[in-house]
Amino acid sequence: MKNKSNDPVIALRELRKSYDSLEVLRGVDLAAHEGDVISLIGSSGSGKSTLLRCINMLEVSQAGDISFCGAPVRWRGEGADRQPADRQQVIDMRTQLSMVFQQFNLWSHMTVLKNVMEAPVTVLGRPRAEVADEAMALLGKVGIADKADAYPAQLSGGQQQRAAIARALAMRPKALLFDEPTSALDPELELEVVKVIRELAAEGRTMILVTHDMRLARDVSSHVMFLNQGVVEEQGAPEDVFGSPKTERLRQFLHATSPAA
Amino acid sequence: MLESCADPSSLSGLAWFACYLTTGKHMAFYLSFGTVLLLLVITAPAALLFGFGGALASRSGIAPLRWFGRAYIAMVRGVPEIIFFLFVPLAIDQGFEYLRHKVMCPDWSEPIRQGNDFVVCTAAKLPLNADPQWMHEIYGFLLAILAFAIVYGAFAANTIRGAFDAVPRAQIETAQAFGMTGRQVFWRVHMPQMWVYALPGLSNLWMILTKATPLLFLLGIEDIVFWARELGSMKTRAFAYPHPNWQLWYFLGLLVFYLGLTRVSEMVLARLNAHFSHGQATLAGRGQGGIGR
Repeated sequence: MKNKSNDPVIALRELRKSYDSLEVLRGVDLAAHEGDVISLIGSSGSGKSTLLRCINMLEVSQAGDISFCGAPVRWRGEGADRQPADRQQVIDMRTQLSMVFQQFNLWSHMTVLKNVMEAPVTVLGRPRAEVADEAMALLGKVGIADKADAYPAQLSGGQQQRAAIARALAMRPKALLFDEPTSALDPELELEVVKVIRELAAEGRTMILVTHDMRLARDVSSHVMFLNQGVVEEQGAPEDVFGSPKTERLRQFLHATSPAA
Repeated sequence: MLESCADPSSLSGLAWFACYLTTGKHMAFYLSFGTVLLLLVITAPAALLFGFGGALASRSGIAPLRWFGRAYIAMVRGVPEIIFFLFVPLAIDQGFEYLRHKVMCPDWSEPIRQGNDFVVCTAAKLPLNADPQWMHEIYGFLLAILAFAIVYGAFAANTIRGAFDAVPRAQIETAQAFGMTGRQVFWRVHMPQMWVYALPGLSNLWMILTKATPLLFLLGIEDIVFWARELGSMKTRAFAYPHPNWQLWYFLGLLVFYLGLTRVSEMVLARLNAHFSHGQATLAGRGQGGIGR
């Protein structure tokens, strides 16, 4: 499935999601083209993490379209009963969209190296030796090659998150989904993860980044979306969104999140 | 038996004792230790299998299967073991014979249940009356194993079900996010992580199972308890080796045997536990640096 012409890698149209009567997403549009780095910002409960989880179907949205490289996800059922119609399509999509989680979620029973190798070997069926070499190279890239044989619980949070990023990269994904990758980290550990994310952005990787770190969003993004109560309240280039916010809500939000000046 | 033991009455001291301990009945006594070990070796994996079956059934998305699994666990857990040990072999034995009777002797007109008696045609008997004694013993032993496996399988099922539920959702979800199929998630993440939570419960169960083996005695199997009582009781002059009541010593022997068995078990289980919790962020796993180093 080659990404022909200029179909966005990920496109959302009018996406809606609710938990029972609580509407979390109330019609969100998004298009991430190859090389885009889109940051989703907004206060807790604005629906930004839910949006990310709807993209790789960890959450099932109730209405609207999701397209991956131009191919729309096929659904069956309506509204609350809506389910993806084709399991294989979901799996194919997930293998090409790697996710990095707030709590790292490294598999606790495997060493760091095994964590990185697991999905390429099990899911993609790639040869173990080849994957092992690549995994070691990726661990080197994120700066924790010496921790390859350690278990996740033996690492610091920053090291765990870098391992999780290596794990995501090992799938050679078309896009990376970051779900608040630095929120669970101490400030100094945050920096080492931020550094890796900056490098990835500089490499021209397609990324969607949910974050509380406004500086990170400002520095790495090509596009910033401000979510408020399940809708995109304001969006645009980082200079505009952070430099001259148009809506009152965004101004308030930026004021509240910026370090006291 | 040794040549020199031909005339026990002429022996004394150590020689008498050596000959006494090598009588045919004592050999059967020693063999019965093997019976206990054999029971454990067969029952433990069988119970584990039943446990997995029960646990998976009780967590199944298919409603009837789930009801069956839950009913199995609830029923066995709610009934005293001894009653189950008496009930299961009898029920299975009669069930088999009933089915065989219906198939093999369709012309039989008498009712199977005649008052207190359970009567089936000769061909339907299990094992056949004509079969040698060892067949009867093996059949009885198999029924005992089945009873043990059903009862301890239910306890194992409950432990395993709890362990499956204890695996953090995030671990499973992450596997899904990387494109694993349900089967891959189960075998690569859910199952390996489940062991950490299941092992303490299963270890406990193994200990209980070990200590429950004397229940074989209840099922009419000539196990170590049977022989210890038999051999230890007072022997009068009518026997080749007369002695007063030595049951105390025989039971002491059993006590030592069981202590040794549980000690060895504890050692093996400790190693298993260390293996499965290696690197985990639990106290046993010593994952967080500093603790226990």
